[in-house]
Amino acid sequence: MSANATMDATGPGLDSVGLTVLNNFLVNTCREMGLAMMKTAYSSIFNEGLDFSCIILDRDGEMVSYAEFCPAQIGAILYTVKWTIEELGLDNFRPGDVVMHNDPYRGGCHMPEHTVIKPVFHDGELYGFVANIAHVTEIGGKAVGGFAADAKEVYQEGLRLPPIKIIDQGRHVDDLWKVILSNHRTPVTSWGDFHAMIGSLSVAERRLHEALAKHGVAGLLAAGKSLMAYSEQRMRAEVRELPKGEYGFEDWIENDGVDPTARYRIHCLVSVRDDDIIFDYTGSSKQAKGPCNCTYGVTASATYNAMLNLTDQTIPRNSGCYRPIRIIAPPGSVVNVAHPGPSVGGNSEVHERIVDVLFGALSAAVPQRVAAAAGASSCNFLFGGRHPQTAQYYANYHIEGSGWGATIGGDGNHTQCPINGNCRNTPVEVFETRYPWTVEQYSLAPISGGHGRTRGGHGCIRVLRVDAPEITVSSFMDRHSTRAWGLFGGEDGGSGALRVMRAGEQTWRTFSEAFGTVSPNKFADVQLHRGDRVMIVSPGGGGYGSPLERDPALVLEDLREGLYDVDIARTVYGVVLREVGGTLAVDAQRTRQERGATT
Amino acid sequence: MTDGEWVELPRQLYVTTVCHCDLCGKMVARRFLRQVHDGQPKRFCDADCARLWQEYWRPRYGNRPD
Repeated sequence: MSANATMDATGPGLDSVGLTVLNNFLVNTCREMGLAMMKTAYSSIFNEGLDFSCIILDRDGEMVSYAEFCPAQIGAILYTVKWTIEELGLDNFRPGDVVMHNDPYRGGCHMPEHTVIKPVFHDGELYGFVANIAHVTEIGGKAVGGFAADAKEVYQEGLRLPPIKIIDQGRHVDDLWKVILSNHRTPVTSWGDFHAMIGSLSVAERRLHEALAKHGVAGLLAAGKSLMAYSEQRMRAEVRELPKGEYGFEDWIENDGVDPTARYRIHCLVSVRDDDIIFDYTGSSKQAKGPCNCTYGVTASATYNAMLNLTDQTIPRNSGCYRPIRIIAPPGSVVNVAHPGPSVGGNSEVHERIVDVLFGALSAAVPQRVAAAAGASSCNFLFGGRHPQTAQYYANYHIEGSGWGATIGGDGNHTQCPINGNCRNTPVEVFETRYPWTVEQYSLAPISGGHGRTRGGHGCIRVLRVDAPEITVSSFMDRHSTRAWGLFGGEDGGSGALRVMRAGEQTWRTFSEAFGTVSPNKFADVQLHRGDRVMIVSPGGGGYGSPLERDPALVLEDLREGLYDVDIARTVYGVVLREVGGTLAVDAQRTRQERGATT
Repeated sequence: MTDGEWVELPRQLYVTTVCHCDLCGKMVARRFLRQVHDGQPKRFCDADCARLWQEYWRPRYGNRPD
């Protein structure tokens, strides 16, 4: 704990050291949940991608602790659990119950994110809940892999589950399991993944029983309240240090999968007040016909995470952090979809754009803390079919890293999953073993990161070849026509792309050109055949500061890494190079002259 | 402005419409705080949202029906 803040004196008799120990215990319990999930799940999106989050909540539905898996989900899970408590009623939970919930219109992120919730009792008294929210790959609906990129209603996006007890006092509710698994294309995988999630709850329940045996229900609840009060206190102190004022910014989503010419504005006015901060999304576009809409939970998650990125990383992560943060997200807009609008792409693509907008807005207040815009596309690529070797139906949610935005302190990361997804890519060996594709190329995209004093991260190029008679693919990607903006003289990052080359052809074409899809980068259910190739180019991040201020030694290093060529070094960065003993070196005098002349 | 009253949402299984808070936009699960401003009814999640509507929203945007 920080020495400059004091603990709530009304705690359960634990001093600051005791609370720190308890906080670490709770965080490690959430991490242990995640390990159980990672090691027992069936899908690569879990055991490789780590697209899930593990959380402990008290009986008010307040988050006491979570582990750092997929932060994009931790805002929404608060709303899903609170909704569940309100809808089912606290009195209706029993030991051994497990509730499942994926309804975007009951606090959720989007349909694939399934939350499982288990109450934890001690001596017959309810302490709270353990929960796991995870992106389940195959959930039925019109598109394999759960991304109906051309959906116009939530009903097309998959099987929607309000909070339902799938396990009642330790016994599976078979009728519900039949309904769920009958609607999934890959029921065996769903069964395995759901039980990995449920298993992680049991891990946490066991650990909480240890803590409850030591502190009792009242003691553990009081300790949680103290931790939340402490986090709230520190977050309010962070807000007080921000320059007071109003800061606006906007960015755009380039199409919605239904109307290829539509653009959707994400706008936020940030008002920094005394010790709270308002994020007002009024002025954002009306909700899209297609699924690039966010639920309130997604917009809240993005907002919370932007603030967590800009403030002290040592503040314990719990509901207290969020109390100084006020969010206004007009219903019926692209940042708060109204029923029955579709929303699957909001969580995976628009979320990152919201974070960029908030960084852009606050760049005027705290330029030293923000990043330039990120490539900010997960490059969602979904596919499924019958595996030629097993004849079993499979489905996969493939995500691609993009370039991150540069900061004042360093270059943006290359080809990394967007900032709030925090997921990992799937190793090529695992990918090729599980799915009938060959990865023919996986490399950094050239000249992709935006130039700057610090450089944006590069996106990547991946080329896949179909090794099955047929694979059905869907896509939900962005920043193919828009670009990640630079800051303070930094240049924009390179845009992304998606191309297909049919077997026997030599030309890369867009999916619209080859298959007549309405959108070239947001579409569902295209059939590819053996020998067809797909090329995914992920976007790069924006640069920060003038390229003419970049350390020439770093420019030389970039050249050696093959990130750009000597012409760019000279024309963009003003760095003149010469050969010394067969290797390139910076000509310091001519570089000074070049930069002087340029500026 | 009225102090407001808590209003329970209908619980019939067939009612699937969604109720949003008139300030923050969050969906309301069970009940909302109803206040009347200049003759127009408003629904809020809680007293905090009602307060923020008064001190932030109304001076800025007025009492728009939406």
